[in-house]
Amino acid sequence: MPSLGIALVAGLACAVMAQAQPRIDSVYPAGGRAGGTIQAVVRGGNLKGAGGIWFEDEGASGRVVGIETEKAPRRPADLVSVEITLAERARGSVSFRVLAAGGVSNALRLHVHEERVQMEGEGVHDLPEKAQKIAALPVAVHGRISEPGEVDYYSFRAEAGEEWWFRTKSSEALDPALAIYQIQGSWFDSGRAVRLAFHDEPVSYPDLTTEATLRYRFERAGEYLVRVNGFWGHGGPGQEYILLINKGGSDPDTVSREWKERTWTRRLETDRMDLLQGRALAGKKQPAVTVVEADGEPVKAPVEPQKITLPALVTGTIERPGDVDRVRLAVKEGERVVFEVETPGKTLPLMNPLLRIVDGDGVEALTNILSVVNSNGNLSKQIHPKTQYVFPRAGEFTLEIRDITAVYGDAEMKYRVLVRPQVPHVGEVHVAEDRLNLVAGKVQKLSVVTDQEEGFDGYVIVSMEGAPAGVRVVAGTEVEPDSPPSQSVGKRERFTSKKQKATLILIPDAGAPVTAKPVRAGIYAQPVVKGEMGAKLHVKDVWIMVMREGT
Amino acid sequence: MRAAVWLIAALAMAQDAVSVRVVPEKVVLSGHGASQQFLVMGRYADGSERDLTESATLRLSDAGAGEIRGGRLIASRDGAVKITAEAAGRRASAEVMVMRSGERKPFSFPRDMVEILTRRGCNGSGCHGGVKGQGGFKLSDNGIHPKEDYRWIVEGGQFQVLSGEAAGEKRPRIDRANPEQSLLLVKATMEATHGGGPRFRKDSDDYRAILNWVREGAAYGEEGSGAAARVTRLEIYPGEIVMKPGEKQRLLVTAHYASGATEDFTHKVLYASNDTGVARVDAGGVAEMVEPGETAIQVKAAGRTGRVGVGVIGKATASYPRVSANNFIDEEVLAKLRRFHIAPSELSSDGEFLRRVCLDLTGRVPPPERAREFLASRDPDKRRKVIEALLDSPEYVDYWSFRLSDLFRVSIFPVGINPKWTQDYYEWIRDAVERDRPYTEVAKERIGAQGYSPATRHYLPYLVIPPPENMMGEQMRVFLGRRFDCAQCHDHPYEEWTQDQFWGLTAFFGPMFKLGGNPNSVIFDFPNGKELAADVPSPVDLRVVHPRTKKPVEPELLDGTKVAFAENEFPRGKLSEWVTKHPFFAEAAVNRIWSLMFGRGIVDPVDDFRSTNPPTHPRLLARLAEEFRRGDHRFKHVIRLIVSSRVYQLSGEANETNAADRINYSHALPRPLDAEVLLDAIADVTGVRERFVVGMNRGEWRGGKAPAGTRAIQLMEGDIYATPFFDAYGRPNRFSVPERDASPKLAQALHVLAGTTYNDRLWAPGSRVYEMHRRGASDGEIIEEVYLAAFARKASEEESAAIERLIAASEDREQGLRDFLWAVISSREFAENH
Repeated sequence: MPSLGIALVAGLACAVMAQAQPRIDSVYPAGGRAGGTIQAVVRGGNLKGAGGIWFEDEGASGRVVGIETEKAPRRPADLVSVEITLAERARGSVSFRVLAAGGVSNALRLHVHEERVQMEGEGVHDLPEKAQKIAALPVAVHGRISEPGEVDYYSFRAEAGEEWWFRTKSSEALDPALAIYQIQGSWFDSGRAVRLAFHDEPVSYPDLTTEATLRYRFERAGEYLVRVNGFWGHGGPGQEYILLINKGGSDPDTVSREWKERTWTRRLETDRMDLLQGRALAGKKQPAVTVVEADGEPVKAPVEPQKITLPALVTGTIERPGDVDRVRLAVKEGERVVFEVETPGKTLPLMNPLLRIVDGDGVEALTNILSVVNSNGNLSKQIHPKTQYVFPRAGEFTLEIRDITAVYGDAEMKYRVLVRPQVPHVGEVHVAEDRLNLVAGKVQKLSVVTDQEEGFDGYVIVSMEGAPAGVRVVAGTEVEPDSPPSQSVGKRERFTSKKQKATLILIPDAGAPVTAKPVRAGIYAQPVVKGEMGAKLHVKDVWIMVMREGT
Repeated sequence: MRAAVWLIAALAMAQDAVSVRVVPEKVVLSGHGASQQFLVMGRYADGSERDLTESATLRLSDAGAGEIRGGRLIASRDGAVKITAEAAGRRASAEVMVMRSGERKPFSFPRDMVEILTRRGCNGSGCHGGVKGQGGFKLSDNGIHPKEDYRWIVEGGQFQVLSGEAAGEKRPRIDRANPEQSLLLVKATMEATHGGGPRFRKDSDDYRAILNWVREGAAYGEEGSGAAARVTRLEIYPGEIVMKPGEKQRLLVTAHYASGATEDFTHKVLYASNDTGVARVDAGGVAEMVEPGETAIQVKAAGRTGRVGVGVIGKATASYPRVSANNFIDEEVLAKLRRFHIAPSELSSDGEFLRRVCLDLTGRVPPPERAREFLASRDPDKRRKVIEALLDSPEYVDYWSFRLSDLFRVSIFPVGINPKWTQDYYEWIRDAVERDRPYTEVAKERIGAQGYSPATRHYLPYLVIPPPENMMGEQMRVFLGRRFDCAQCHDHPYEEWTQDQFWGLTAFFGPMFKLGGNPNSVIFDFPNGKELAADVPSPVDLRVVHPRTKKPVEPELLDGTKVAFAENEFPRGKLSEWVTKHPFFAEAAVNRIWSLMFGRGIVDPVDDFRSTNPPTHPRLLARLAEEFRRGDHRFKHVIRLIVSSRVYQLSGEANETNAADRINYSHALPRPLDAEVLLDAIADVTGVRERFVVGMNRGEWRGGKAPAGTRAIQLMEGDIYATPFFDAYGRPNRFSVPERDASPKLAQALHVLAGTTYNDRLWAPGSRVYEMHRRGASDGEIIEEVYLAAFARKASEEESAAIERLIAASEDREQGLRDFLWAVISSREFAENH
């Protein structure tokens, strides 16, 4: 259900600024305690006439209390003051948007935590001796890095043997780092703070967080400091953070519920076959997946590998450098097989699981590596989490799993490899937009791209449900821009899906009623195979507003 | 005339000898015409030895066994014979066994012809042994590739650097139909124009040998008895020469074969002095001392080189001082100083020592309160205690992280590619310094870096992996202190490194490949250099290709060992094992550390070990390396040893005997502070910190700033911060193995006069002098505080009086104090570590 937490200002003007979409960049504070009320400032652009806050989910409500424009030298920003109340039952985060004269903005997330709130004080605390005191645990410190080079020090007392954790949640603009210090002094400087621990995620990589996390065991009781700073000395407007501090366990990360076909962190479970089938023709019975645990063995002393029967989920760990795990499988001529890999512990680029399929003579049949020629003409390699293969002949093969570098191995280098028959199905469906601000009488399009996996050769019905009154949704076409053909010297088809694009045309009638609040419209994809329709797959919700042109 | 002078001098010396001996004392000569050069060495009361060969009389116990000419025995009959030398009224003898004197060795081009070409300087790097040869005629440097030399002589053709093929018309350098008209002969005797001048005369043995060889068909002959016939090294006696100007020493050169056999090569080698102004050497191997100084004499033959260090000493001091040694460093350095009649300076003052050791261990000048405390302390153990305090300080971690970041090239680069990875790389270095990790582990991780590990960062400075030869060259330079780069295109002109060795080492880096898109790539190595994905239509052979032979090169260590790999092993892993176990590794590491403490390495430059650039103190280098190994390859152990030595703690005040010394550590030499250290020192003394802004070309870029209080040496990568001070005083860009340029520049002088670093800190609220003035401190108190902060000493009475007069004569006190502070921070005493 749409939000219950909308608050509207009477007489909301729906002046349309078609070219300038409302945009929100950050909110400070960036969250609060469940059951509490936050006085916050939302920073963004094109927020003139901001009159309400729209919450996509239950768990929060709020209202706009004022708006002003900041005269920044480079990029003026609109600052919308809001009051937000988080419900007692709210957990994790709540998503909100601002309703402005130009329509509905993009969404930002407000973090909901259970910890006591402590706001960063007004005074400068960029040196150890000026640190602000952390009063009690657990705590969520709301702060910001307002200027380049700013660092925020907080002091606290820890007892001997205590293990604390520190975690940041930050706005998109801020890439925070954490460090723990203690003023131990040195021969040169009696007030010298000595760094005890440091964390900044070492890599910026898709699907990996940029947040900083530290877990530290204090060997001795005493006064300590924790420091927050932006990577590379960055800082400025909209760079906010929440620093969560507690003893003991950490809070869990949010797990995406979207269908993921080719990410290293998607969950591969024994229900995978049924889930795949559900993206084709539901009801067709799929064989049960057996789970096989592979033992890590150094390549020099291999034991007889276990034999698996498809479909099988092979799990294991590259515990030591050079570990190569093996299982055997027998295939029929022309058998269509998929090898899917998940990295539930360390993932790319820290762990790079290489799969090799070799025949009885040790000849390599395939790997999960694709060779490509870059735009600059250089040969490059890509490692893939999903590989499709049609065995040209029957026989027994060995599946080898190892880290590609052969120099790393530890308990966190886990893998799960699903070896299964191919299931033709609809893969990921891509829709770029998450909001549409329509002007009555003006047509807009929405592109929907479907991935067709493992030889899926049916149709896909693409539809929108729940469009606002007076808005018609019909199928259309659009001209594809030319793009240079991609080059590869490997078998690209083993690693990629076929793609098809559909275009939905949204036609608001000239007399379509203006919406006072965003309307949730669902995008659906429904496979059709040999004339039979499969289950309707929910792709995404898009929030739509309809406005009048002019004032 | 000169020979006569030397003879008189030798006779005079001989009279003082307490004993004489013949070198070698026992020898076996084998084959027709086998010969042996003998030396007659006189031992003197002070323990020294001198060459008395020229004045000695040598006789054979059996006159028919051979002939003695100039101390050289040419054997003619089998059997045991005794050779007796008489000099200075004393006698000594040697035993000689002659075997197979009737057996002529079969002709061998490598042995018989290449020897002539080497000895006559034809195949030297400055002549036909150069990179491109001379006049289209190429010989391998020092005859290291005799088969190729034979081909160029007998078949002709012009050499090409990166090709095995000859260019141009093939005209042999010999003429079998008219042997006397062979180019090889007419050029060397100047019957035809020859840019290299005459090499021998027509009546010489060498001319006749070549002529006979051509007449007899110019065969290649025997290679020798396989590998056993390969000369593995040249041994030179004496190992070191320390003599006075005008004195002479004949050298004795012995070739060691792989078979274990030895042969006298004294008359088969080419001699050359590195500095003829210090010592000369003639074609027969007699070295003559010229002027006080140090040099080396190079010896080349059979593809091998050797060297002997030569020290020409000045006048002996009347009473050499007794100097106690703190550790073996002092033993080695002081022993050489004594040999060279150079007296070490006195022990440094406490202030001098404190400032020096603080700068060398932490890159910081000591704070005034610490300097005051140290100067006042009467604790006899206070130097040791301060060394330990500094080694355990967080400032040590800051400074040595900065030092290693230079060496290991921690760099974000102007385009800012993957700065997160760079940060991770820096943190890896910092952690290694903080935990004082064994350098072997650090080296192994850096050389063998794979995947998204911190140390892999340097293999991907941009978005592509650098050429394997560049990566190999850098690792060898960093960890073995050797520059192999010259051997990339040709055999090294001054060393024994060959092009084959270069590419053999490079082959370890060949199978490296980038996996993934930018900027999240990792590096891995294909097993055995083979393409990984079998389904690729045209598998790529990633093995390194030799540029001349155009054939794939297998990984091969310097000693010629080919390395085999199991399927899950990778070449660089094996190479890193070899590098860290090689004796070069520890030597290169301790030499680097030493250079940071003294301003020059025992081998200098520190990454240019070669036979023509020998260590000034070979035994010291070897003992330091041994200590490094014994101490588990940890830096702190060696640093502690060095700074605890008396040699390190000597004063910079020179005495009469050591003022000219620059290489023997007889006194401390001033060293300019690096830009980062100097900037931090200015901030410390003035009390005004620098604020670093990320920027390129002095303009703000990406808007980052280092946190308040950040010191210059704490910057992860100084090159990205816009500060005119760094521009003027130099910072390495870390694109390649950095080298700092400490030479003074005009921009520095201008910056001292008008730059913000020097002039905007003199009188700011919160600054040292400003605050003291505000609190009502007297001139004397301010002078003492600033002197302690800047120089770790108090001003002398004369200095204080002069400064007080300056302040009093100023328009107002503020101006006087500003001028005083400016004068201190712009002084040489401040800008140098001494």
